[in-house]
Amino acid sequence: MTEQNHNLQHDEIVGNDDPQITELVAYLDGELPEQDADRVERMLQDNAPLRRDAECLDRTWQLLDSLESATASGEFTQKTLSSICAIAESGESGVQNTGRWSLKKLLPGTLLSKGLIWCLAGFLACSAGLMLSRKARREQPDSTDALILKDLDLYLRYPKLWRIPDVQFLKDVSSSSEPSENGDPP
Amino acid sequence: MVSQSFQNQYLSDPDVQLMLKVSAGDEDAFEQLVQRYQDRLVGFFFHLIHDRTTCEDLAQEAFLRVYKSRERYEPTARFSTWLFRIAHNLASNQKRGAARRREIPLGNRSADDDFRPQEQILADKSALMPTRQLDSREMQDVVRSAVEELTEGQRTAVILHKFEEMSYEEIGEIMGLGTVAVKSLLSRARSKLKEALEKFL
Repeated sequence: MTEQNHNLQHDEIVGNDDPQITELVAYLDGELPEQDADRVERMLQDNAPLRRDAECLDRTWQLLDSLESATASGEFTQKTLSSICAIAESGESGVQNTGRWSLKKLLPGTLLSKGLIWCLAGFLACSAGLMLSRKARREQPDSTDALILKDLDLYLRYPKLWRIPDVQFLKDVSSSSEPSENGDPP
Repeated sequence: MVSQSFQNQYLSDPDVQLMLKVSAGDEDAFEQLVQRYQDRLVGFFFHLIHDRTTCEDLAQEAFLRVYKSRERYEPTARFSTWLFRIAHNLASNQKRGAARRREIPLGNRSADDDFRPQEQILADKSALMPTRQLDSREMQDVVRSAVEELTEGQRTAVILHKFEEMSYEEIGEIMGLGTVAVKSLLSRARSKLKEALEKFL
């Protein structure tokens, strides 16, 4: 009670009210004991300005009927009951899964899931890189083998060629074996 | 002995009976209470806050608090009094929160900015009045502006008395005030409203 009282301004509660108006309002609100109500009624009969005040206060009160009002939406009951159900269920599971709650406290869910995703992504990237490099290596012939294959013809004729004394000899042979002007072979 | 007789008095309230069933774990009884009071709660919040979504959220929160305290429930008042006390506290907290948010400066507003206090709106509406009859929408705005001019306590007391048809005693129990203080609040509120709306009568 006292806590709620502090929410209201002091002069809002205790002030210099006009006692006649306060009594008149209480009369209009049906909050006066019978004896006091009779007295106010007699006053109203005798006092025209007071009667006008009373009528004015009453009509003002009736004007409040023009205020827009609201009711709960169609799904309010369901929404309210669902939210309460969810809270009740979470309360029960909270009791049953104390271990899981403590783990959650230690490792926030988002951090844990992010870490797992990054680890998985890293693992996949490494595997893919490894597989690609292996495949490329398999497709590409060894450089030594390639050179041997390229000069295979030379190697096959090597026993004949190694008897050639020098380069000049080859040049001479080459110039003497050029085709003749009439196209006959040498 | 005295408290027991009070308790017996409240036990005749059918909603207290429902709440006691809720305490005993009857979920259907709780649903019945929600259905009985949802419109009244939303209406109460709407007169104070005017935002439908916020009103429904607050009404939901009020029911949630009722549910949470079901195990500790003691019938020391009528159920409606207890529920509206919770609602009044929620509305006060919401208003205080909103006021705190408004205190945060939004930049350098000059005196010429378009900020118009309620008094100004009301004065503008009043200026229109002598020449023609206000339509219902305008009348609604005028009355609403007049109600907005009341203090928070006066407004709550007016709403509980006018729309919830509560007695001074019940209003006092809800707002944590004595009957004399409620009488004073309502007297001042009605005088203020009369002053603001006299031209429209």
